[in-house]
Amino acid sequence: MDKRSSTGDSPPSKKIKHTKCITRPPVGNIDESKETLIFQELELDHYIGVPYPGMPGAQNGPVPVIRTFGVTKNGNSVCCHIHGFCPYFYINLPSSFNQTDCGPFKSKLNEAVVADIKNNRENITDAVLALEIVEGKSLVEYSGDENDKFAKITVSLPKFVPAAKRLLENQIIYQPLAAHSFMFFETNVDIEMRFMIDAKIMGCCWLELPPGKWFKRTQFTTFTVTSRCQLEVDISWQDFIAHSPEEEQWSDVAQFRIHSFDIECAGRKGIFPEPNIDPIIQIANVIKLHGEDDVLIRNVFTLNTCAAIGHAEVKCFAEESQMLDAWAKFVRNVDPDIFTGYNINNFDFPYLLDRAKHLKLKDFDYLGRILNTRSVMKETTTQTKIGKRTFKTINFEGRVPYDMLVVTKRDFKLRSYTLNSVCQEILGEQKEDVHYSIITDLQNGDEQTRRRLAVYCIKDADLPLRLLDHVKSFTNDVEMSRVTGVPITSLLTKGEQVKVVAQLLRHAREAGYFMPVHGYAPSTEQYEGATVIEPVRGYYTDPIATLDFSSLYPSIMIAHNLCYTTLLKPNTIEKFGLSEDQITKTPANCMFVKSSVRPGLLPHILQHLLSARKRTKVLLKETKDPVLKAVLDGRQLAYKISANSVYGFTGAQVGKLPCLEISGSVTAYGRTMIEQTKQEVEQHYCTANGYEADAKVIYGDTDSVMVNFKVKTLERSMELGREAAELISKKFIKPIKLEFEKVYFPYLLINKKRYAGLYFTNAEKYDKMDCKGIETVRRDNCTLVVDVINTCLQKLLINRDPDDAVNYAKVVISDLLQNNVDISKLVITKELTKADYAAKQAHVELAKKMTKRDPGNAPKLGDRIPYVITAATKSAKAFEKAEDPIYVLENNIPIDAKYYLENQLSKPLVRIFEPILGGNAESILLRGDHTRTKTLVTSKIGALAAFTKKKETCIGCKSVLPNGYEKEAVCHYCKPKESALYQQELSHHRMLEDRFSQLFTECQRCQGSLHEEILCTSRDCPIFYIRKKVQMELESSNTKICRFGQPDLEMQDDLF
Amino acid sequence: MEIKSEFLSRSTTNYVNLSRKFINTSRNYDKQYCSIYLVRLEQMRQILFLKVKEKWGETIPIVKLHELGETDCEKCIIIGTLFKDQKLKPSIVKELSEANQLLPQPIITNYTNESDMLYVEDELQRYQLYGNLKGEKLVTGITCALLGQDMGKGKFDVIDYIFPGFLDQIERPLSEENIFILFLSGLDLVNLERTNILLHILKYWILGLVHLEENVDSKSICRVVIAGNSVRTVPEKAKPTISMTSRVPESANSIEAVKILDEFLCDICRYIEVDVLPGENDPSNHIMPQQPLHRCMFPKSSKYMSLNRVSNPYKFSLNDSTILGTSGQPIRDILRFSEISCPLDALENCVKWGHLAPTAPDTLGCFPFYDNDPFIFDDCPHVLFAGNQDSFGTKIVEGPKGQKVCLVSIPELATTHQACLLNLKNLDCFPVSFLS
Repeated sequence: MDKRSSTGDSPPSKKIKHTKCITRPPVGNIDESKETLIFQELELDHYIGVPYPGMPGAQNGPVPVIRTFGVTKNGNSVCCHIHGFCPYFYINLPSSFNQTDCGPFKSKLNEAVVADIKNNRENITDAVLALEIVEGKSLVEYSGDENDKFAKITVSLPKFVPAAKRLLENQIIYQPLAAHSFMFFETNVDIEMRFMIDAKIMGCCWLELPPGKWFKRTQFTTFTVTSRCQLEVDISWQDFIAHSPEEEQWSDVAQFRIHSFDIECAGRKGIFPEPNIDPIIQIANVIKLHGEDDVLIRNVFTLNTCAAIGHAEVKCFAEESQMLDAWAKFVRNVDPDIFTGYNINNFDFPYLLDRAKHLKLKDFDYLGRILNTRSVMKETTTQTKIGKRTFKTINFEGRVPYDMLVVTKRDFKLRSYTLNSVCQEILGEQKEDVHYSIITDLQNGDEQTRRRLAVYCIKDADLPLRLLDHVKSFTNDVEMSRVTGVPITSLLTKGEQVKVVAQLLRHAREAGYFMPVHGYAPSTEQYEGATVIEPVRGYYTDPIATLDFSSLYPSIMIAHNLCYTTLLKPNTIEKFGLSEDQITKTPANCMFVKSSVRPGLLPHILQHLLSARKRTKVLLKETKDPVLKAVLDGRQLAYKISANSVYGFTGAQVGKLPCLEISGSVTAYGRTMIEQTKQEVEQHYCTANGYEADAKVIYGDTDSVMVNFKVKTLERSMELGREAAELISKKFIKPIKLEFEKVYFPYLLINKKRYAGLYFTNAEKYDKMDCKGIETVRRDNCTLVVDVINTCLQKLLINRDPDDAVNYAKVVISDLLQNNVDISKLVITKELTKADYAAKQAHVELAKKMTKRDPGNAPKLGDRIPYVITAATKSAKAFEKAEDPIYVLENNIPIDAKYYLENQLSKPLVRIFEPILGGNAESILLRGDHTRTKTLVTSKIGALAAFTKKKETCIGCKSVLPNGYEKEAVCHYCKPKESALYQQELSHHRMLEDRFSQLFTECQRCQGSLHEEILCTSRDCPIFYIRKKVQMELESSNTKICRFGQPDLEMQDDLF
Repeated sequence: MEIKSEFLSRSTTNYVNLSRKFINTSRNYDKQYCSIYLVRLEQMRQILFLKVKEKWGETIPIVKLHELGETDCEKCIIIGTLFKDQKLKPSIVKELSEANQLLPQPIITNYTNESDMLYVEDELQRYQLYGNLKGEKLVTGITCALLGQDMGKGKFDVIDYIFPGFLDQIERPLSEENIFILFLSGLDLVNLERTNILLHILKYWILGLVHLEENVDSKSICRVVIAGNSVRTVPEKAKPTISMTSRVPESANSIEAVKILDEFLCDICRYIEVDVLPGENDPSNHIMPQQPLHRCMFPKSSKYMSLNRVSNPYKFSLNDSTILGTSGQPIRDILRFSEISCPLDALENCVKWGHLAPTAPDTLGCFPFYDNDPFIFDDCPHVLFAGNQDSFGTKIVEGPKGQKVCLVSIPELATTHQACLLNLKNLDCFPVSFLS
């Protein structure tokens, strides 16, 4: 066994029969002089250390060392120190500068940088290591064929890069260059990326350390062990081989250890758990090897005793501090490569660290792989695809925190991101939700109630792993990291831009370009967006063929050679003596040289990505192995996304290198191409040319054009679509290609970017119903809206029955007005955040009301508050009408149907029906006869309720039953109809009984136990409110049925 | 109609209604379903303890599931309820989310699938089962004892198993006399045109005015048992509604059919004792046990003492033979959720499992009982019947102690045009066709 695995002792626990091997397989003896070490790199960072003898680079003073973590094929963890790589940057030079200047310039700069170091404790004397003249070109703007002179300045530490830049900018360092205006290149590239590019390492690729070149660390070597990895080695940055994942034998993925966990805290009623007060009571862990189906370890750490659990090991502790220490040791023993869970970055990890600090645990926070580095929490703000956000980041050197909440938010657009909703949407199953107020009760019960809690906790650790497997996010991210060459961590923590920068730098380096540093001059320049041919709105029952430009923006850039390197400023044409036919003038009035003059770098990158994608797709088709298939699919997707993000990069105004000439030209080309396609189609496909009808382009958007060939059959429309795509493709420069992909039949065109249609790729059967821009995921809508819109669209598109759709909408409206809609469909949910607590908002006011009613169960900050809008007096403000759905159910409070009709339903409904009903849509839907009947519900609470005394009435005619007959079900007059009346009541009762049994067995199954009581209070679950409602209705329906008397009097007499 | 008095004199029998436990007077819907499972497990455990001792002796320890991980014994015995995890099992949550999806859902009549997994569960734990107990012919809700070993990670390897099985049976008195019970089901009176003629023939036959069976003197028919679905055999197609609890009015033709039933019963009750069970689609409550049809729906026939409106399930004794049965819902449910394809096999299994409706409450609606499980057999009946089956069938099964149970699958009248007769003398059972 590896010695390091003994750093954590197995904590005291109940006797376990199946002792599972939780540590990694032993390394065995590897001879560094004879054997090759191969491992897959996962994490990469750098630290400042001392020079390792025999390695290149500075030989004294502090030096940067690149540190990478990875896993071998056998599943051994590796920490590899890579020595000798130094940071550098470029500056421009005047042509007068020559070799003899190098020495003096270097020493002057070195002096300045050294002098600039604040209290130079390490006594650094060599800050600038080298200054050499290199030839090359600036990446931005065409500058003729001649190379320019640049200086490559190598410094000893990363922090000297910005220092040197600042000094050169602000001071005269070297007199001969006093008049020179310095331009800086690549000073904003961090050392990790610099290294990966120079060493040709892509993300998650396999590294091969040849025998004799690497040196193993032990406790006895001069450089002793610093990490918890099984193998810790040193190598020069020039001595290893990085295998490209595109090579077939290097495309697999090692069995990374994924550790998913969840903690439970015993909070106080109504207060969000606070780490300096509320204890952690359970921690569930599930550990799995990437690519394996079975779980390696499943266990739970509990405070206080806990009864055994079949599928998991239970470890009980008397003291919380013991439990936390044991857990930290467990983590170090398991040595995971990846941490996952749900909201671990913002809740579980910070809570654990804070709690450990509060309990004064000395050794808890050594959760990373470096022996003497504690994990600490930092708050950082980053810009990503999902917007500007403040993240809590925690360092776990060598381990990747892969929070599934972050992944889900990045990859899916959902109404809600609670683990519950996400499971419902993605895995198609509900998850039991135990209310936090019950958690404390369960903890304070006996070992069985704690076991119940533990089972629940384990499920919360299981689900993130299942999500991760199901959506293949990790597999896809590994591929994205390989394609773009950025470490996998950056994919979650950094934005989109870093991926493009990495690729740009890689290719620039090969082609001899240097990337300038972009000064942040906020530009007010606007370029026109994409789109569009004005939509001809309507409900089309003819097939509508859709012609798409495949990879439109990348192919425009390739076709027209649009790039930083080919950009021509207006006044430079003459300078380079270019003729008209060597220049492309874009529709946005920008100029670029043609590829005959100089092929652009971006087109080159894009071509590379697109052809790589094509190759991958071919491979994907041939592959049978499902694991490899997932890998290849992830890769082709990564190529596609990367190709498309290049355009966005050039347009990002606060980016690293925006170039509006490029992005503006791309969209301008897009627009003219859409316009041109429209003209070509309409010119060619007309009766004059012998076609059956005059084709009409009804809409065009970004990269697609919708054509109504005015033919009746799908087959014909597809035939014409295919033909048109081929015909018109010829009119464009390669590789721009128009493709026929699908026919919408029928097609509902509502507005720009808003349409729905039945999507056909073959004439036999539709593939799906495709909806764009129609309210289905907006979070502030109640589900009624989503359901109604979906059903109406279904009736319009699949059943092709507009009348039925209109009728359905009317029925819903009428049901709504008659208070006949399930409350769960009317629930609106909002999160209670600190920021809006002062504002008069519906959910905030309700939270205050609920706190007054039951301080114990008061909502707390961060809770999502579900509410419905209830009818109140006319003068009531909207925010006063919000009410707790359960309270509404229990007290029979009427719903404000008008609010739901006007504020929720009307707009989306009118929108989809306008193309069919025209301008009348609103009056037909919202003011027809069906809106006349309204049901008034009398609330059990309120002013009048106290004064009304209910009298028994006849179930048939509702007349008050005369004295002495109150016990009867019907009055004398209705007696002959008693049988029919009874059957009416019964029929309702039967339906309720059915619901009752369906609902309660569902919850029983969902919680995974037949014999235990359902505790779930998941308000995200679509059946939570109905469950309550059915119970209440059954009770009242039963009372009614009972008024008819027991079914069989004789039998009863006989029995009792 | 002129009836000679001799036709009216029928064999007298000693009838006792034993269905008291199926009559549900206080209906409390506050309870959850875990209670019935707990009660079932506790009751069955007592029976299983004895059987375990008989079959496996007393050396192997009987442990609770949560103790499995801590026992050192290689083999042990566990007792629990089976749960079959079936991905095709209808789920209301799935239905709700599918309501938003647009692909038409296929109509499924059998919910088994090769991915089905079998679990055993006691009060606290659930274990997945491997080994010799195969789930294909089993359903959720059966209680059993399992001999085997813990495989770790929540898996249990089954070597052998015991179901509560045949209980003790009281001896049936010998009789020389042919006494017949006529079993009917599925009259489907909403479609009167299908059965009108059959019912007339039936009536005349009971009265002795027509002969259908050579060997049966209609005088010796002492009782008619109508085992459900008298009003309709197929539920009315529910209109989709926005709300899960919105009111759907009962159709006029159902109400009309109840009147026809009243008249039909009125006709035959003048001559013979009739037991009427409610069926799945009859106007009684819907979940099991179904309560007797309400007297207010039978203003005419309920005047006759010979009309016996009874519960479903229904248990009675006739001349000391115990007869137990249902209108068929539990059997149909077993056929849907297992690979058992014959109603007689399902009935036989019910006897072996010691339970009349194991799938209740999981897939068969049932009342949330909390202090007893009325569907557990409390003795071994002589006859076990199920109404509304596709075809007639009968079979005698024998228990280890010589118990003999006559299983009867009563055909649906409206589709098969058949009923069946059971001779109490020898438990001989055969079909009677009304149209030949």
